[in-house]
Amino acid sequence: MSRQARIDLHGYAFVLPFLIVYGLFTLWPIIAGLRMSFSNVSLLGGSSPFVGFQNYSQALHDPAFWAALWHSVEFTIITTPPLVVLGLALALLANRALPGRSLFRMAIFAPFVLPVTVVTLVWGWLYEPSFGLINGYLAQLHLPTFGWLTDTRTAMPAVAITTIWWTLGFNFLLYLAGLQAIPREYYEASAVDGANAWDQLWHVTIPLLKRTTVIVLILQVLASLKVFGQIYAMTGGGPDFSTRSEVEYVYEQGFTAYHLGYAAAMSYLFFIVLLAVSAFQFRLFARRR
Amino acid sequence: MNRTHQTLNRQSVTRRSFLSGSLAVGAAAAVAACASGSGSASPGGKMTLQYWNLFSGGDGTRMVELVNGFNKSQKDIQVKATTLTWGTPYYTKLTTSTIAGQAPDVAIMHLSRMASFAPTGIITEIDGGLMSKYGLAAGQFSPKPWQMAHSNGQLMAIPLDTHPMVMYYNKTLAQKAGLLGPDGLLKPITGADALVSAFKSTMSAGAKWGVAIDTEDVNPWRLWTALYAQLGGGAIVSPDGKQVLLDDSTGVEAASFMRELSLVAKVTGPATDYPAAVALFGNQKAGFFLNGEWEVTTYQTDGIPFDVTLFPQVYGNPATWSDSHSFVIPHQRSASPDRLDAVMQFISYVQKNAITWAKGGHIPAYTPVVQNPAYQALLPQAHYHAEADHVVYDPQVWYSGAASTLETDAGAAFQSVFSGHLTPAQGYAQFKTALQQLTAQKPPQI
Amino acid sequence: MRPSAVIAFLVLFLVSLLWVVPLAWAVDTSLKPEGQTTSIPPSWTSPRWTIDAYLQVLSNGDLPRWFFNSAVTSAVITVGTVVFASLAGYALSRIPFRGRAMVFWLIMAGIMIPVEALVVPLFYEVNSLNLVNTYGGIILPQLASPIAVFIFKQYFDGIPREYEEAAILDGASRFRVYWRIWMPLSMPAVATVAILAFIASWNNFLWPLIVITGSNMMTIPVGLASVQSSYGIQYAQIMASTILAALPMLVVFAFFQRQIVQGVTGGVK
Repeated sequence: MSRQARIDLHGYAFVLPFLIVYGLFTLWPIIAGLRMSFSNVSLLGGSSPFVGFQNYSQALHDPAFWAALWHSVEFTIITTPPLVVLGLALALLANRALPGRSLFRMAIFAPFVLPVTVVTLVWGWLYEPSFGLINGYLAQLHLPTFGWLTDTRTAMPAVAITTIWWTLGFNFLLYLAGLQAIPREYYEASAVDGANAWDQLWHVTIPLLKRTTVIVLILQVLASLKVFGQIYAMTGGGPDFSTRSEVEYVYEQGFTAYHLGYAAAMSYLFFIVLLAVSAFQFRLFARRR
Repeated sequence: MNRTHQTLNRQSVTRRSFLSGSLAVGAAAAVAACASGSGSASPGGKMTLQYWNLFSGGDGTRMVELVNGFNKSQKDIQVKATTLTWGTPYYTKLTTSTIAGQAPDVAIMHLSRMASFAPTGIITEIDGGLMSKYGLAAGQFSPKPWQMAHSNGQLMAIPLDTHPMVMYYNKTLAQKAGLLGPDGLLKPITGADALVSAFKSTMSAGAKWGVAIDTEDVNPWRLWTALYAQLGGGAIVSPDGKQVLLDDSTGVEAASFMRELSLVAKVTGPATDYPAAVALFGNQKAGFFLNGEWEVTTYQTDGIPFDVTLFPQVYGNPATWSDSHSFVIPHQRSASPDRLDAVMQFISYVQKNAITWAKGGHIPAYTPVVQNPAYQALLPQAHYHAEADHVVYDPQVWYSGAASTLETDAGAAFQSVFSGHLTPAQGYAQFKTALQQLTAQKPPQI
Repeated sequence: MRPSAVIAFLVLFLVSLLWVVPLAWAVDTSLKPEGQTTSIPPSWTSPRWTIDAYLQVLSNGDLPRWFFNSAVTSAVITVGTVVFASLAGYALSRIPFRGRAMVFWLIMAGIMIPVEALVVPLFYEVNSLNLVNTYGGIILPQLASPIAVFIFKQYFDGIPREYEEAAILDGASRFRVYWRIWMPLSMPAVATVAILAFIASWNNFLWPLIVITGSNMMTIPVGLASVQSSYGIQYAQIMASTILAALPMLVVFAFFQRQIVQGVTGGVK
């Protein structure tokens, strides 16, 4: 065997285990799903007649599809700014060489390691309209109470607050690491130039954190668009479908209503949306650099 | 060079032992990967049956009693019951597990779901001969559930109970409000105004809310159905499910009464979820409670002074919403006559001991138990089992039934009427639109 | 201390306190007798404290079984992910085989693919393989992580070639080089991938929800969401089960805090 052939053999031998699992459980479903989306296959089995683009056109004309897409976008819009800004703010505070910093870090990051069901059960209990702690305190302060998860005005914000509690620690950590990587010399130099703390924040810290911010934003936006667990477990998409996210609608159509073909088509439409958002983000941030 | 090798060798040893340890875990898991979760024979020759239900209310305790009783009553069969969350998660799991060949041996199904499950092959026909082997016969079940248990002339389920919506009331508060008759029972209340003022009077007597109502999920649908029927509404869709037969003014009037309760007369909270409604009555903070009868055990355990009576007659016709539970046998990849036999033995036991189930509030479908004086004497059950004569079920079509799309859509629309997010006309219109869309859809193919 | 540091300290202290309240309230509820949990107004104190709720959950429920399922599946996924991704990452970084660039882009494209968009065909496929409600069905779809390959490749790229060349001159096989030299040198990358894979697989909700149908195969997140107490709505027990479910990860976090932090921040770098 030639030397190159032997190298090839080695190379493929090493990537093969990964490629097998990847091929079977990531690539194949993409192709199979595409095929499914062109048919009316049902969860119950049976025949799956080819219907061309019917599922796609049905989705595009389905108000529930657009509403669900909007809810995913809405969720992203109301969670991303707080998660980014608060993450940075807390990291800035924690960076001031404080005693007890690791305790604070632990308290704020700990929720991140919890499974979604634990988070939603704990917060569902806090939000309980009659016996929950939040309404209990509001009532004691003579403030109006709300049916947090059962009122269409408050349901999405309530899920958002829970999500912020759950995942803020992640951004907090990233920003803290980013801050600690900024050499002191930059601050010292700008202080010599007469900059105060505020100037330093805007002209030194934040620009130098740009790379971290980019990563945080990209991860945050994509993860938020794909939201499923909290909504499924806290509101089931309600009240009156006001929190039903795209992924949840796909799940419902596929596994509760048995329309696997339709659910597959919507998954692909959603996939295109995600691709577009990612591409947009990459272009935006690549250009800046 | 040699030093590097030495250091690396020491690290390699620990790495190697780590990897061999994890390979061992992996191998064990690979073996376990072939293991699945369906019922199997346990050591000692006992057959373990998997039984799924969704009884997480006060009646759940009674089912546990029945299962334990059956397990103790003989030594060959062990029934393992799993209670799954009520609603679409339960039915989705039942469906996906059956298609994957991992179905439980026996499961509970609402009879209102017969039209959606029977044509799919998920549930199997019941063997009449096997039924009689264990002493169960066709004539021994209440007529309406028995009829609903059939599809295309085949028996697909064995009815367990009928569970209508009733009215609980707190005796102390009702007494203070002057609502009790000389026999200590609630005086009959007829008409919307009388009902609302009865609710209000308990609030003056100290209750936070006149009536506790779960305004979330599918409960608003149930209330609306009862009110619509009381107004003489009739069937809402044609028998084939393809035509909407709603009467708009009746539908809006029924929805308006819901708004009346929560936002006009303010005798109930505009956004109360199920646990809160149960607890409100249980903590004696509500004078009345409109709900299915399955929380009787809860309140008996709580020890509060309560009774239960028929659903109030708000409008001309006495009617209330109801559904029925039944036992079904899901399709198995390889049917085993022994297991089927054991399942029937279990079902027969539960039917014959249905008085325990009745203690949970339900009205048994097995008439020998219903006719038994012991059941007739059960309180508070005796005060409402006449309800079974006036019940309205969900339309018997594929998109309807417990936790179906129809119920979810209707519940969402009428929930908004309770909360004020939608006016009664808007809520009704949203429901009607959703119903029209359902009638236009094709049922899932087999 | 400078005044700004004092203010920073106070603010962080308050925020941390706020962050701890939800779990603290859950613990508080779980230790009350059931009747006390629904008192109005809610109160942190109770005339009586009891661990009944925990005893009930442990004796009646499937929680220990779910914990076992989570532990087994997460352990296998973690080890599998590390092994498969590091092998692939090594080859992509160090073995100049033909078609390498194409394979690399094929795998990187996978980073863009959200699992959520694949669950429908994935279920169909897993069902055809008869893997529904099995450990295999839970584990296999979670083993291929393109991000892990990326992390390993990046890391290997950064290690000087000299380490490898000397060993190859000595006649060592490629696998030996990978195993004896590269992996020990890549502990930071291994730690990052292992931690991310473990947390992600332990907390995974959507896929296990779909593929697991029996309560004795459920992982903790799915079990908590699917199975109800047969005894009615009992908040003390519900909170007790969430605390028990949270404990394993919190304990892991407490002991491996530094590694987890490094893993999360390092991996993203």
